[in-house]
Amino acid sequence: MKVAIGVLLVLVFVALAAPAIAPHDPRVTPESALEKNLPPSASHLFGTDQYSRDVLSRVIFGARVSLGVAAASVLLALTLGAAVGAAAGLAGGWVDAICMRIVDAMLSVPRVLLLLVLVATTGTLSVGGIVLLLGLTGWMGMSRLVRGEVRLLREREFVMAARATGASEWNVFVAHILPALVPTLLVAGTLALASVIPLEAGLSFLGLGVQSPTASWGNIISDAGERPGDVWWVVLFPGLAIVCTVLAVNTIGERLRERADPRQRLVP
Amino acid sequence: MRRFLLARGAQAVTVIAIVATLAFVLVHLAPGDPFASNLDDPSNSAELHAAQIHHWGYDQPLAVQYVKWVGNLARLQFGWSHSRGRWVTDVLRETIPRSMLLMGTAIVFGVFAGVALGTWQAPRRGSMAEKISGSLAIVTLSMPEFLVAIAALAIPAARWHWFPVSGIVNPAMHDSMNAAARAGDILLHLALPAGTLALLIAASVSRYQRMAMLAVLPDEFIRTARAKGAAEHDIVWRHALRNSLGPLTTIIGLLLPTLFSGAVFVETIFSWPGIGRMMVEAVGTVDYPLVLAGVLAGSVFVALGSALADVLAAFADPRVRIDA
Repeated sequence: MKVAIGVLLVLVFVALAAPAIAPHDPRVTPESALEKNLPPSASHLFGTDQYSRDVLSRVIFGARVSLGVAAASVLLALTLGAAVGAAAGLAGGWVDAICMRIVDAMLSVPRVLLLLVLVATTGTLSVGGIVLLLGLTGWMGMSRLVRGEVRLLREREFVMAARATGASEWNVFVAHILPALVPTLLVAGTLALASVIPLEAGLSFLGLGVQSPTASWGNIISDAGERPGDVWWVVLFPGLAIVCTVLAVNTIGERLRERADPRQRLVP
Repeated sequence: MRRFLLARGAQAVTVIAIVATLAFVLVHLAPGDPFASNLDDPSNSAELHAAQIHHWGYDQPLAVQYVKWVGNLARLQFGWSHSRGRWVTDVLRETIPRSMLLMGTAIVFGVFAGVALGTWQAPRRGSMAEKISGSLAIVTLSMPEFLVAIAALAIPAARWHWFPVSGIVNPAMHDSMNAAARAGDILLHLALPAGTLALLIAASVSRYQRMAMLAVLPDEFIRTARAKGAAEHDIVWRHALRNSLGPLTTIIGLLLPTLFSGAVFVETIFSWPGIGRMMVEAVGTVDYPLVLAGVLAGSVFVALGSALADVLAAFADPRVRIDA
């Protein structure tokens, strides 16, 4: 757990301080034009790619984009999930039925396919667009969790008491139900972060996510080209960054889940 | 049982209907049209563009298009693929069996390996071997599918030349081979992409299987078996294993969306001409009918697959049926 938090803090620091840390310009520069596909060395610790760009610097700048996109899209998904889940849970009846059927249907489509359809129809390839698409395809599981939680909370005494004092539905929700949802949202958000990072990397790898020259961990790997084995450093280092991040975030998420609800503790 | 089957079938059909409608709405509300890219070609006039739109019915009211589209779906007509110049149904007829071969092989080997690993791990809980293999499974699960596929492509295929790097058959030799050699050719091309997906399934299944075994091992019937003198090996691999397999079909059902997503990347990287690669290409060429067909095929696969998994689970364990 401590290691996981440490890894994550280092990554966040690297992402924030990218321009100060990166040894080279992550873009093509005139001086570097002849340093194509160099293996790791003292001047290029992670080697260079087919456009003579320093892979270490690209991984460092990629942390910004990859972590930023992941965090922003999870926040969006949490907001949407909480909104739909709360609406369904509080309203009940046909609103609930329709929302949950749509959620069921969307959950049954592999998320990559949903993303592919959205990329095809919106044609978006900007960083903001990717955040939007990842958010739009990530809220369904959360809305289910929130709905379940809201339906339980709605019947609790403190909520009924608030209602009995004449608080409006909106006030009851904001002042009493929403705070009680925070642990659930925190756990769901952390675990969602761990699943969205490889997804963004995958999309960017396919050329349908963040576009080069903006570095993201996924599109750095796609710069390895047709024969990735010959330039293993272009694949290995961003790959390690992805795996370490996912492992760290997952560890933290699992631990948070145990804290939030000890009954969910998995068999040791 | 019949009520359960009907309810589960109706649920699957509802899901597919909603997905079809959502996908249709999305595609038709999107800005632009499927022929917009043709306008970049100076030899295509605006009149031709308008004629294409009219010919394929994109200028009709949305409701009319929807009704037509649903009618066509019922006859398994998905329209014309503009990028491939063929009927979508013909494209699907080729790509779906290839993806099924890939995913089917991956499920069989992945589940088998995952169950074996989980069963082996459970009685060794806390030992070094169990910790290492468990950590490896977790690391595998933390890797994006495309990274595993690239590693498989780069090392055993490109570096050691053990396997071909791409495609489903050897394009130069396949037609001159006899039946056995052709099958061997396909298997050789299948090994790495299916192996990659199988590895991901195995990692996931092994974690569930280990937990299922840990839940069974403290049971009284295990103690009884031990008391009557059964060998420890038989206790684990016979008594406990059989009783731990109950949730397995459900877990396979839950893994299907992940498997399909994985297939999209694996097929793209290994140039396996299945439905996943078809989707990626269709998105690249903005081929709406092909994209729609791909999403539908994916959701039908997942909806039917998980319905089948639930039905099998209900057959195996009557208690499941009560929930329906």
